[in-house]
Amino acid sequence: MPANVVVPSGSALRESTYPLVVRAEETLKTRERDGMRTGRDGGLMVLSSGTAKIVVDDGACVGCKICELICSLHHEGAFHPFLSRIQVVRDPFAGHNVPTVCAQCQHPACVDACPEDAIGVNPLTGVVVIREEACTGCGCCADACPFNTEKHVLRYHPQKKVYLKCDLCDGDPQCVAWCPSGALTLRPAGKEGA
Amino acid sequence: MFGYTGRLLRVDLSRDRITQEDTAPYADRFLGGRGLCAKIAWDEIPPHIDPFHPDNRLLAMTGPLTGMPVAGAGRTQFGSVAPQVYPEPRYTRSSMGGNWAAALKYAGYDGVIIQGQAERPVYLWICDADVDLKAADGLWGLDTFQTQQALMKAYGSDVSVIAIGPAGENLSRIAIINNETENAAGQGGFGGVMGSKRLKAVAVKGTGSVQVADPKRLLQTVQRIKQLLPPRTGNPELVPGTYRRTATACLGCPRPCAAIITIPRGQKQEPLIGKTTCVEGRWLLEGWNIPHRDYKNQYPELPRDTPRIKDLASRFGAKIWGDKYGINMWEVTLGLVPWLTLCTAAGVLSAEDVGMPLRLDRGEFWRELLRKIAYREGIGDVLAEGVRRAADALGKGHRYLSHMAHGYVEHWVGRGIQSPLPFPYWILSALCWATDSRDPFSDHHRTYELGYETKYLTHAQERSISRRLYGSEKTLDPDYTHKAQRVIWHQNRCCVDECLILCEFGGFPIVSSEATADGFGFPEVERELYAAVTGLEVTQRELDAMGARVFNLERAIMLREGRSKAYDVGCGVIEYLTNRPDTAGITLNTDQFLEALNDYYELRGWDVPTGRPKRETLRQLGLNDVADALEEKGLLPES
Repeated sequence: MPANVVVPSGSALRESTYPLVVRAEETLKTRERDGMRTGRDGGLMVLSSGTAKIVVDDGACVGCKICELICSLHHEGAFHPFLSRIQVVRDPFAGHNVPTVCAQCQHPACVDACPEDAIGVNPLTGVVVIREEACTGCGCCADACPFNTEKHVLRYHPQKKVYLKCDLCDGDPQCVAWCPSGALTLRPAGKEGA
Repeated sequence: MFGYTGRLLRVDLSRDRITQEDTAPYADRFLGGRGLCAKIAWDEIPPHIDPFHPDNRLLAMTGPLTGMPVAGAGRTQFGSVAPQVYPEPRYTRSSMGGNWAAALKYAGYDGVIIQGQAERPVYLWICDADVDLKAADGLWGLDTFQTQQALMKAYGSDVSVIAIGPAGENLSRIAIINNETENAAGQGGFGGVMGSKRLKAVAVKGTGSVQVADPKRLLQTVQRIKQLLPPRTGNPELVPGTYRRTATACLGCPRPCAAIITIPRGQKQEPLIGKTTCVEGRWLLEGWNIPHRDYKNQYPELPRDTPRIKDLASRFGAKIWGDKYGINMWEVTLGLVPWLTLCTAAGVLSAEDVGMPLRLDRGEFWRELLRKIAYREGIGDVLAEGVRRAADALGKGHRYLSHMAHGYVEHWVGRGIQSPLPFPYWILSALCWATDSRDPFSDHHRTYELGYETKYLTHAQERSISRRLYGSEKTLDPDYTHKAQRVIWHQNRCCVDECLILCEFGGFPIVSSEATADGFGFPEVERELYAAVTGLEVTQRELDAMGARVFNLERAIMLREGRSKAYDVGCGVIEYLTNRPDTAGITLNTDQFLEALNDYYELRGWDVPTGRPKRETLRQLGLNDVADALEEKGLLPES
């Protein structure tokens, strides 16, 4: 566990398979300067090194949506692109195709916003994960996420009544594996930079 | 039900009624896509009906593989009586890429049956269980881009729309149904059928799911396909110039065959944005002229230089206007442009005939001509009938037509732009043409692949594959024998692929591969995909029989429309290919071709003197009811 991250004792986190971190004891100067809303206990953790994330190259996306099909098959057991955690907009009139997926932010607004502590961060990888059993489907995360104006990052599952987001498939993201055009790559945890 | 949704929509525009039907009774025997279209057409479309009559159907079908990660997953198969078909409109197929079929599937429907005629312009709205006909007053008159953008603005960017433009509204025989910028049901003029029904667009949003019987097997098969087929990044051949090119694929397809082109036009103008696949590649490459090498032998009296549009933006811009107006740009690119260029060079058509100065080297000329066609103004009224009929209406220009049969421009018969195709491969093509209801080469390209496009194979390997697939090595021999069996294999397999729906451009059927030791492909791939998705373990023989069944059902529809061997022989294929030599100077030998045609009928189990399927053939294919119906009309051969 990195030194600047503290896991509160006595929390339900110890029961989870992922050791998720939802709050830190320190409020960071960068958070105050950004003017972003802080969490209830005063702040968020920051990892000392980069998060794992899917890097999107818009220019290489061909709009096939194989990523949506594979993501939904992997997570839902059927082809269900509406529930894919990665969403591609085919925009032929603008001349491009645009995939959107969770950026696994270093300062996740969704974690901050969640009143149930259902979203947290894996401190080793930086992956931001929703714990389905704790999620009440309130949608605060979806409202808070600055990338979610089109509802492409955090999506509502109408039958389970919870929110969904990319969890990087336990480290081997299927969309990356199946993308035929190299528009998606996995940047592993620990890599600095964009 | 795995793969299928189990539901079809029936939309009666006359009665403003929308009902649902089960897919299973159709899919049982006719699989999906093209097969469903053929079955419903056989059951419901009266023969000899005018394509613009309300009782004509516009059928739009998906298949069990629609919406899956395979090439073809976004394609829609349409069926209708086609306005373009010459001399008389007849039932035929037309297909379209893009993503609309997948949207329909995820909305919960395997297809849509459209019949009747609305009293005023409407569009069909499908959002999962919510299906409704809505007033299209604000849409009627818009071009195909504007229509889609208006519906996307109303319903969100994730709505998928098929639309007609003014060409379809004005009942052009060469009007398209368009999805996005250029995914079109083009050949046949189905846009006019939609226009005659006052149906402007069908907008679909789907939030549902599709179950697959064995996902692991499906993905393993998809991986194997990937190993066998080379990767591709869109249309490779483009001219130098200032533009951005983004490879673009249809939904589900890992091997894009197309590119979106963006041409900037400075600060004060929006950039030009359009899509190009094969035909438009020629526009961009050659500037809308006619290829000299193809025509100098055919028309030695004409000047060597023909006009070409030098400016890339100008010629690409004119092509985009064709897509917006909703006009068949294949018919324009390879039918109208060469014909008009040759007719005006020969003095057969004048500026007065055309109604404007003959600036064939300017994009603006062609844009204006396309506008006239869309709105049926001046010569546009004649050209909107398709070039074949236009020549008849004007009473001139027949010498310069590139139309070969069924009202369609020649295609892959070793003349014109595909003159590199040598003998005997164009004999295969000729047999395809003579026994089809339309230009076969939107979906039969692989018929000539073995031996012509397999330079990576040795002759021994080619012969071996020919024997294994087609039953004889001699399909490769430079003569007329053993060609029919190869054609039949591909026609039947094309039916299977267009039922499932898989895309030929995407690589199907997989006849051969550079990646295997013996060069053999993966001819059971369709069976594997079908079994993995549906859980139905048909044998290869049973699946091939389904293809033959669909083909024979389409033949039955043709017989009811009055087709016979006389039409196969007289439709124009023999005349065209006997009068025009290929690049080696070879013309069609009529006697030998007629023998090959007889071989074809024999192998199909059809009566050789009449070209009609025998009862026994139909019975074995599970079409005894069709045989009964044909017999009632005196259309079965005497037993």
